[in-house]
Amino acid sequence: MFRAVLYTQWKWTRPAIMLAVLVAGYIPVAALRAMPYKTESTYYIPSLYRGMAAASTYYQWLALFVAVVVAISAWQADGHRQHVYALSLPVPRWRFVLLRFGAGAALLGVVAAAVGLFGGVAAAIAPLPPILHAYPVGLAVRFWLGSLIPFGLIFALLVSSPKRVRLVVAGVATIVVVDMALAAMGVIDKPVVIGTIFDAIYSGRGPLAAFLSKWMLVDV
Amino acid sequence: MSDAIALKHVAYRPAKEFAIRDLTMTVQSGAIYGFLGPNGSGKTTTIKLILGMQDADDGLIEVLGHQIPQGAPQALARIGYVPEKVHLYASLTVGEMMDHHRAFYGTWDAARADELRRQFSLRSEQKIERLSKGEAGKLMMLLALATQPELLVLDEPTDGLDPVVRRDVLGALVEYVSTRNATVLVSSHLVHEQERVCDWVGVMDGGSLIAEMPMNTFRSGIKRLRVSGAPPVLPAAPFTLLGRTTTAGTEEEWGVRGWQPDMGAWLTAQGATLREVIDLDLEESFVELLSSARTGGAS
Amino acid sequence: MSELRLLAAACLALACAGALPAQQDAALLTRRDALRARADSLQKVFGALDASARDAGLTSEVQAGTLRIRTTTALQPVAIAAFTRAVTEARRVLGADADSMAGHLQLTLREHRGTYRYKWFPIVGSVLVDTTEHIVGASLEGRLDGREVPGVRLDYPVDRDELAASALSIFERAIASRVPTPMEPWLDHRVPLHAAQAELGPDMFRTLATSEAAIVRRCAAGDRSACRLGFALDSVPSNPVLAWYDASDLPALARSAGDHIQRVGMTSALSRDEQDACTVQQQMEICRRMVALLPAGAFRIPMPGAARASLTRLAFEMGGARGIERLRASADTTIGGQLAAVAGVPADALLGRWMEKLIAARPSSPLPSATFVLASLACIMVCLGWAMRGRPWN
Repeated sequence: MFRAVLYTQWKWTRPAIMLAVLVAGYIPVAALRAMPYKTESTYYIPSLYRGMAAASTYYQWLALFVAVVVAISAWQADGHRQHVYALSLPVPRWRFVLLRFGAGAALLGVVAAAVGLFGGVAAAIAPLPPILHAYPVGLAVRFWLGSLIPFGLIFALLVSSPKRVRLVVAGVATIVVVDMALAAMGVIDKPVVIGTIFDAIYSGRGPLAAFLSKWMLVDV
Repeated sequence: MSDAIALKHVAYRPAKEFAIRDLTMTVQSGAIYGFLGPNGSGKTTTIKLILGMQDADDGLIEVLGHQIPQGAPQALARIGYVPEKVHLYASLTVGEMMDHHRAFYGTWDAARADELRRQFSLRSEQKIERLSKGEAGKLMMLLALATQPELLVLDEPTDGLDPVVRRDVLGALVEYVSTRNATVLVSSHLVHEQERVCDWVGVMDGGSLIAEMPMNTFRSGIKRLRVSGAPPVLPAAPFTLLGRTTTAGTEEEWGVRGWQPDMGAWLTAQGATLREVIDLDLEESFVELLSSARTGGAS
Repeated sequence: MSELRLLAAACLALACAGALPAQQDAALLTRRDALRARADSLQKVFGALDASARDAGLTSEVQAGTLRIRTTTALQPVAIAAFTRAVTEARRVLGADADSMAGHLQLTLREHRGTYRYKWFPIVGSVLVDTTEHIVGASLEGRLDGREVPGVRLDYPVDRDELAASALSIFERAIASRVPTPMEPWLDHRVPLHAAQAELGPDMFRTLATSEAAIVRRCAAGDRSACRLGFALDSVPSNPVLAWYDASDLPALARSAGDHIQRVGMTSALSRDEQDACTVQQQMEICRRMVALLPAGAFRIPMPGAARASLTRLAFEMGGARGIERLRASADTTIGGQLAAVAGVPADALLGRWMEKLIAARPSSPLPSATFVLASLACIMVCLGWAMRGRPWN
């Protein structure tokens, strides 16, 4: 069953995955080629480090792009047909969702593996200074986990009923409006809930923790 | 004989304007059950409740011995379903769709599937989004039959198909049913087609099952009587009076169900004269039944 | 010849004419100076009046240990709590010296009033909500033995943690003024008392390993003599470029030289194309010429301030109590000697200990941290759980 689901999702996302794999190969090459200057035998450490920090941002955008595409593709075909085919299959609903999620995670893993592979090859060829090392495996793991988060969020949103999504949006909107109203009336000094939510989301332990750290192919 | 499908006092309200109320329905094992009703009567909704795609608000649903929705996956493994609209993945090819479907059914008969594919003149490399309505209908029937189901649920399987395709689809269905003791629930508004295939009929209108009987009874049991001189108010009759219409003076036309030839004596006893008994075809019987249901029967 | 004389005369006349506006009336000058002096004294009077108006709300002094604080009644509790914490933190570094230092420091915590209050809301932006007089902020000022120490502005309501940190910052600057040269400027005029300054973490290692000074990079790689030079423990070298940087650093140095050239308007020294020849094409000879244009004082000690602070913190921790007193009593005029006085061990031993901590701080695992992995997995599980309960039909 998983192979069948994986095959269909691969077919739907094939162009995007292949493009992502190409970009994954291009990023380290472009970053290393863009080094402003290097010494006779190796790269200049500060500029190499800065270049890798800049490349980190491109990896994060790539992860976001491929996560969004895979998540939307996972349910687009079913959504067009109001999930009739999926619901008529002899598997529990939760299991089918798990199959789709697993297939999506596997496809993201393909891109993550490409990130690690191409990054490793580029770093192996490039003359790195002794104090810096390549971490292609760490980068691939970060990439995979970092792409799974937006994938999971969009995936869950798309498979929820419109009523549920409306409930969640209405709930959040109510909290925000009440928070702002209390602040405007002076009951509280400033909108507490909004600030707390933003702090939680953007903190190092929140759902965006993956995107707050740098995804360095080369590091100390 | 156990029932393949049993609905007891099922209620479901998907929208403010429409509700299924107190639906009790039985499909015996081995029967070919024709599910009749006009558009919007609730046939498709009932089918979706039976298959566990929607959850009823009240009542019991049992399919092939499994409670629905709890046992829906186990039941669906033994059911072949052809929906009203094409539900397949448009970007896959015929071959890919067959492979995908096969992965979920342990009972998939690959040889039979290939045979049906050739019979239906479908090529593996054809993309589903490029199939004509008839070809798509045939593919859905192929997928349903290739899993060797005990219960076939067909929702308007031939709607919009040309006669040739309709013949192919119905032919495959009949062939399947004749070789196995499968149960078939086929929903349609094409009454004449149901007449040829089904041995049971259930008529749905406005979310309620207004009639459920063997096809023979339905075919022969609904008549139109031309009566004159009948009193305005009648006592309890030995037949079901579906409707009374005045044609001219004291002449009336009555729609009746369960008419037997010897019931003329009862009419005479009421002071009425039976002028003529008109046999109705299935379509006319169906219309008569619907009219009666909508007007609340004879007053 | 006569034309030449005419030309010379005309030039002289023009020069004199140009000098005419520069001539100033002595009387006008006197009048201007008198007005300026009057304005200065008026400004002092206004300043004093302003200060006394500000001081009007302040109560008499309260004490947090030996630290004296002047503030309003409303702020007394938070002030005492915050400053007690600040002194406790200072004691970790200075020991008993902290209390004796605090005795010389007086802090003033003021409230500032205003008449307009704006509140910021998302989307809408700033909205005027109040025009009555109310407290808009606070400030913390310090005086050490009568001399002013630069103060800090604070948000209102005053947060205890922020106030404690601000008090500690003032304390840092106050104590630094008692530290002898060259250590005081080496410390950027503050003795590191904040706990975070003691940390030698992965970020510090990264900063040093990727520094734009070769000497610092060699220190991060484990070269003790490089660390000694990078910290300038013995003395600032006469040729900093040669001592601290290598050829690969020249383009980066030249970029800062290019900024200096632009700033002081020395475009005649080197053209834009020549500057690009260094920074873009890395022609080293041109880079050397650009770097040579930098004045001697332009080369700061290459070790970042955080690294110097961490070395100083380590010295205080190793030396225990009375570090400041030993420092003041030391006759050594080198940074290394002064740090050794604080630490109570030779400078090499101090440096060795610091390097051990630095090497230990190097990130060792190629994989993401456990926090990262757990946070990610938790989010993914929540999303998956939500998805598995979804039914898109209803």
